Amino acid sequence: MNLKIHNFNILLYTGAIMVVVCLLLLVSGIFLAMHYIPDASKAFESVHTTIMQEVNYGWLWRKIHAVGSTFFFLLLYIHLLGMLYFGFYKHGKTKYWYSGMVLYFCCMVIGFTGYVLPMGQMSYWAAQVITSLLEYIPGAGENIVLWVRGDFSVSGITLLRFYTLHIVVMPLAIALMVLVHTDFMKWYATNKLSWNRKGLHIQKAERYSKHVVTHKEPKPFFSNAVLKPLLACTLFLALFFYCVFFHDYLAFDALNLTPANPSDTPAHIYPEWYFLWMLQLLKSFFFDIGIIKGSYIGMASLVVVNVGLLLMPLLDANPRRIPAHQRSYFLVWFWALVVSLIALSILGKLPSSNVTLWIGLFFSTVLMALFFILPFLSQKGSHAKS
Amino acid sequence: MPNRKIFAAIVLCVFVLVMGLEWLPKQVTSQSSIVVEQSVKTASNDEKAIHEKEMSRRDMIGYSVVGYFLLLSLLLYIKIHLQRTKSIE
Repeated sequence: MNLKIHNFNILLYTGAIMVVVCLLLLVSGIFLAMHYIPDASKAFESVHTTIMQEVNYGWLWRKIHAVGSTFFFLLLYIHLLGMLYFGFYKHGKTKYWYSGMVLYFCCMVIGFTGYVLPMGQMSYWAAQVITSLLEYIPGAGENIVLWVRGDFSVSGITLLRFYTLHIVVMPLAIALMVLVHTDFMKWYATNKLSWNRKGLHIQKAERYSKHVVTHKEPKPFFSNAVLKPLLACTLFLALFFYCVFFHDYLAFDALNLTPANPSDTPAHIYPEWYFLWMLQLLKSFFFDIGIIKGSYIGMASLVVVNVGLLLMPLLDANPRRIPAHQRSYFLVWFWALVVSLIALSILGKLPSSNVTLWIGLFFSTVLMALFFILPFLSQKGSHAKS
Repeated sequence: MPNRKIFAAIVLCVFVLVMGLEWLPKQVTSQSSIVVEQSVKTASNDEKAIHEKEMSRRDMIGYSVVGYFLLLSLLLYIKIHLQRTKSIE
């Protein structure tokens, strides 16, 4: 590892920062759970009156939790796209990619269930819309929606289910997947004996090498393994708390400051920002093709993109793990993906109009097509630039 | 790709995303500002005074916490820098 400070790599430390954000979310979540009431008629009051006004520093815990989730998803996307850029889904890294994608889906579920809990107007209607998407599952769609909601529309029963998922099931699943993703058991088994002040590199090499190991000057363990990630974390925490105290509107929607009203449908319903590209993808196919309804095409495109991301190790035919800037075709593919995701997220927040629908259709088609052309395109760019 | 380029690309993407999600919708609709205005109008003068006092207290805590982490970052940077120069010597 290079000790030079100008080699401070932001992508290398997104994982470490995400662990810190996870801990912040866990601690703030425990404090919030002490005062939150998972009841349809009391949830809004418990959040906006009890937690935000009556409990000492309740406002701070809630803001940390809300801004924390926003930052967590931002880091998650940076981490995911960074790994995609460097091809960290091939040759011994596939396990990390698949476990990472499972983690990503778990985070999506926990993010969605968390957004519903305050029972504001936007939370309620976002839950109503997103759970109704399950109706598109062929055959048993309507029964699955009823099973998930526990009622014919989002109600107290749904809230209790989402609360259980949010505070028990998903945190456990995420903790388990983090252990798999970080290869914790293997790391623990191989390194537990070689942790000393000299650094772990030398003893590991001695233990596993069949040949005589030439002793190098040991690098300071404290600088390598701790100080640089710690510096990344403290810099991040400074930015994070700046947003918590002075720009908390980034994580709160003004429409969610009013309690849920099932008889008053908002003109424009949208979920949290990290689901916006998915929502726009669903909305983009606003016309029917023959007997196939546009909504079904939208749902199919959402499945294609998510499954495509999951199956990246299989879709990318290039056998070598090389970064995108050494693969010209893949570089174009990667930036087309990033631009499409950002454009769809922005369009998802805007009210629907003819212009947004047509632009949305363009980017949705591009996003979906990217995963179909990848197997052919990756074969073309199989030779790395020297 | 050098780190600076990666960092610049991430900053650019986040900037475009934040502007697109926060600034652009406000140009299209001013619905959010109406809700905020309504919540401010309903408060009495006494409540406003208490609110302002509470806000300044929160700002004070905010500056302290942010300052603490910035200072800690600076100290860590110096520590790494010193360790690096020591290892070169």
